[in-house]
Amino acid sequence: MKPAVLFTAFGLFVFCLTLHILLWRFRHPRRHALALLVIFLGPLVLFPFVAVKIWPLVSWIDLVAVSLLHIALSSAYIQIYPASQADSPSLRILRVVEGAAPRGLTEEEIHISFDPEKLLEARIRDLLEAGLVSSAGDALTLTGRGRMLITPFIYLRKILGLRPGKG
Amino acid sequence: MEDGISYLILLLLSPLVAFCLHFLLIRVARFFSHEISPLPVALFAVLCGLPVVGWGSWEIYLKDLVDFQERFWGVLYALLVYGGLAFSYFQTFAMTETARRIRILRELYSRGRVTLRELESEYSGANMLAVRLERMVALNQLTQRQDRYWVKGRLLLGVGKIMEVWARLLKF
Repeated sequence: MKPAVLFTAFGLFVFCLTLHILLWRFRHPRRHALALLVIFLGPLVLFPFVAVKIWPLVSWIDLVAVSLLHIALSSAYIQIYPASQADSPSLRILRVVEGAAPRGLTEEEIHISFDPEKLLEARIRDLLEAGLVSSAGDALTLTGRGRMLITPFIYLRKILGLRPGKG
Repeated sequence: MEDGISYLILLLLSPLVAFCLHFLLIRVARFFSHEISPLPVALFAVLCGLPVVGWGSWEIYLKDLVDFQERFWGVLYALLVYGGLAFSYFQTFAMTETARRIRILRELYSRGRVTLRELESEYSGANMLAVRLERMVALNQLTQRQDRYWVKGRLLLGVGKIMEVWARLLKF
């Protein structure tokens, strides 16, 4: 395994990450997930052509190896991205409890310290804006895209033999 | 050349190793009647996958590398690819367990049409809080004595602080 493979993959990942930061600081996209996929996976389409121009003797296995590592790094980043986008109730709980040390807090006191009801509303709003859910009056339904997104998650738990998650 | 291709294919399919181990560990835990929180089991499966994928990488490709430096970079490469892909598997599973969006989408999937009031009554703020407190005690991030909670582990808090900095960088 050549070190150039790892350095090139890192370089490609850092390039995409920099582009992502610059674009987000300019304006947040309406569809975050799609934008991230385009930014992080789009360059892989052009990468082989650029690489061959710069390193004419590069082998196709090296190109595949670079792409695989870049995909692994990008996939990991895209998975943790939602934690930066939305307020995490678990982290909020930890901060509230930490702030009350050393006396500790009861569940009721934690509940008073922040409004969990707003967290559901915020998520429903996100889903409506992302086009995964539609509303008619006071009722919500899945859109086709929402159904496509949630189906693999449901089947993952079914195959593992687990009850649905509590959210 | 074939070894190199096999090595890359093994690494590409490495999340399946974590998935299969996860599948087995759930059944082992159930067989011994252990009620273990799902997230630690998933994390353990991912960690157990490392020696399995490591052994496979060694047998298929790494042991035949003569140059020590090439082998070193090959090991590092395998660690990074497995780490990234297996972490993605863990995070995907964690979303099925903890994410509010996934819970809402799942409710709509199974029931077709849900009013906001019905959603709020089944997935209330109090319910959301109780589930998270139970989960964080199971993950050793909180400790509970009688009816009070204290911070125990600092891993999630540390991660949270990093995410706050990242969120500011992305102008959230």
